Amino acid sequence: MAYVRINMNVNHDEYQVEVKPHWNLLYVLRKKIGLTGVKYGCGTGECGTCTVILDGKIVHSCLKLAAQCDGSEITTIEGLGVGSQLTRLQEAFVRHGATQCGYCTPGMILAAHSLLEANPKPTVQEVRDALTGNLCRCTGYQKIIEAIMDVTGQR
Amino acid sequence: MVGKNIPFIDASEMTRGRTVYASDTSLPGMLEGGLLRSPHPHAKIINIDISSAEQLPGVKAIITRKNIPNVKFGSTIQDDTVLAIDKVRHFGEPVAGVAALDEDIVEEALSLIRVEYEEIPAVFDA
Repeated sequence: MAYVRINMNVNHDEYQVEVKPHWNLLYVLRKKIGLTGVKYGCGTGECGTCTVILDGKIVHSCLKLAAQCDGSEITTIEGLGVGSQLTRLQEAFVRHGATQCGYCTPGMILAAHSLLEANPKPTVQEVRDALTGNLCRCTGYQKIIEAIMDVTGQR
Repeated sequence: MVGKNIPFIDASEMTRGRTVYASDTSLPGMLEGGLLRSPHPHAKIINIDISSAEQLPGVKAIITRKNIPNVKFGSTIQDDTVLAIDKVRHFGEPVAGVAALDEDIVEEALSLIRVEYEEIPAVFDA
């Protein structure tokens, strides 16, 4: 099977990777680039733990072929914040107890981040709608929503 | 402590995606594994041919009913075998296992294993 060479900008770093046509973006990010903050949860686009920002929009990286991402700009959870400095959103998650096992957290943070870039003052319903692509089995979502609303200056 | 807001000790790591879960670990010499599962709910296993799969570069081991210990396990009743032996009793029952250098090779190896089944009647509705 022939490899396809792709170029991607991931978290402001340039990568050139040889990929097989059937590899998904999640596999390449985790196994070839080593970004394990992007999680494998279901592999079928239902859980959102594989969420990344691809060319400005959040996507389930398990549903994107890596070969489709040639020339793309990608942000993973590792690309938020500077060094070990937390963003206000990340701090709010910590303060509100919005993490338990933490597996959904990277995806939730990216989905919330993406929402707030487009809509800095969402309603609670708009927050819920924005998180429909991200499942959490631990927290019951309430603390996650509170953390996000807190960051927007709304309670 | 009571009445104070104490954050989870590892919450900040979690928000940065730095928490290392089992599937995030990578150790020197580590292999990846996979199982070939039955596509039939009830079938006799006539033959398992692993010859093509074994030759795939990067495959380190393949196991079938020939390689498993003679034990049965289970939480309430110990009636489960490590891999299917004479027949498969449910859709998805493991029939063979592969260990290889990476996930991609595991998947390809699994697709090269040829299992000959003879389907037998099954109950789908009471």
